[in-house]
Amino acid sequence: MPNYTNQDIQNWFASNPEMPADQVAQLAYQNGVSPQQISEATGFGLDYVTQLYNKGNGISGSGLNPAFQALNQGGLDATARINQTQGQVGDIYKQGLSYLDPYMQQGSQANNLQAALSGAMGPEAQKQAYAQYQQSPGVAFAQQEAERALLRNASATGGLGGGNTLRDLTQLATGMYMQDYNNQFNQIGTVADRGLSASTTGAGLQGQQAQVQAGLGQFAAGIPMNVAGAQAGMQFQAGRDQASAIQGTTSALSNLINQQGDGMTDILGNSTTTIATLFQNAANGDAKSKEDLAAILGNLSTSNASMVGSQPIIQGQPSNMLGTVGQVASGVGGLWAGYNSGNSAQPASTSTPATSSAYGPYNTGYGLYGA
Amino acid sequence: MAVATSTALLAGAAATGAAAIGDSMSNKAAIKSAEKQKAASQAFIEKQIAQARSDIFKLFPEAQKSRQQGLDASLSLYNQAYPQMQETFQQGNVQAQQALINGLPQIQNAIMGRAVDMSGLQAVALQQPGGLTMPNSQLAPISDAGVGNA
Repeated sequence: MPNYTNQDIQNWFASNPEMPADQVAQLAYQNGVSPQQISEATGFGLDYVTQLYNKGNGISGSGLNPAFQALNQGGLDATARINQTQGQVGDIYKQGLSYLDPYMQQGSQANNLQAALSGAMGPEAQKQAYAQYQQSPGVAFAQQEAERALLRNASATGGLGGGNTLRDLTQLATGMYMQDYNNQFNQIGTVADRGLSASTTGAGLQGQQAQVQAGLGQFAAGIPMNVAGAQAGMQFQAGRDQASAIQGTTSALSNLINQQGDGMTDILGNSTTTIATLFQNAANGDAKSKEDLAAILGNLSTSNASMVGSQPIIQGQPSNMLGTVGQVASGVGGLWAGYNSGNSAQPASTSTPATSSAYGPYNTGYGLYGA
Repeated sequence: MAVATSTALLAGAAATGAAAIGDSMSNKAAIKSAEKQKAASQAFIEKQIAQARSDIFKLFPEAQKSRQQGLDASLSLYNQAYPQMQETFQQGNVQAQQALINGLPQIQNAIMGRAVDMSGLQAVALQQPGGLTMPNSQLAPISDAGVGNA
């Protein structure tokens, strides 16, 4: 998926000003453009852009998908920043090396010239280098000055044009060349050494650059691995969490089903017990009623019998005719006696009637049971 | 005078005799009456006792029958309920085991990252028990016992 720059994003928005936010969000998701990038490109607040982004893509903001997205985006951003840093580091080192470049180039040239002068590059190169030396302005100037001085001296002494003057001129030229050659050679060597030093420094800088960029590269290489590792860890954890949720749900479901059976059994059992108890209570109540009634009736009967049994016998009043006869006889006797006594003036008898003694046995009040 | 006296004596004797006989008869009647009363009382008492026994021996068996009827009704209910209870309990337990078993492969799938099929986890409605047939709850009325009739 290509990396879009802020400019790309801005251009796109300029070309599509009326597109609804949801569609923008979906396109951004499909093309790997993060809310952060959009925020940086457009200047809108990150929270606002993220909210629209999530809404347009049906992202709740939590869960694996947003996490992966954040990880991926973070990895891409980090990689982009590292690449940018590497570029900056390269530029800085390049600039540093550019400061050394003239010295390195001159040193290289001086090294070549010195090598040529020394003959290390072959006779042709030496010849050419020496000719070049001879024609160098410095040597020519020095020689000219020396010749002028010699000629002036010779002119002053009147030896101008003489053999000595010519000899001197020749010796002067040779001496001048030899003396200045050594100087030149040494100076060239100095420049060459300076170039060598610059090159050494440059090499060191490049070594540092290599180290720095290697470090950055190593870090950048670790990012995908870290992101992948994080994602793998999250996915594995998600799997474990899902498994745990399934296990919990399964256990809860199993418990509920078991409870359902248990509960229904209890309901049936309790209902049966209640109804059975009702039946037994009703039957026991009925039985007790009958027993109580039997007891009542029994008591009633026995109390009737007891009442009757405790009633005294109504004794028939036996007649007391003897007594009556006795009384009559007594009365008659009394009359007779009275009659006779009237004649004989006898007092009336005050004796009790004979019944209480004479008829006592017949009027004992003999009870029915000989009481 | 002597005749009158003899007559009076004879009359007196006759009267006395008659009175004595009358008294004797009257006494016997009284005794008989008392004995009659006693017998009647005895008979009444015995009748009452017989009535009482009869009532008791009619009502107590009826009471026993009522208790037995209640016991039989309870046993009948339990006889119907227990198999249903066992079946329902077992049904719930087996279904619970099945739910656990159904979950295991999905747990493995989730861990291994394979697709998870939740269709095995379903709500379960156990079969309702068949219900109870109520035994006869009509108890015999007391009038059927024929109490009061000796």
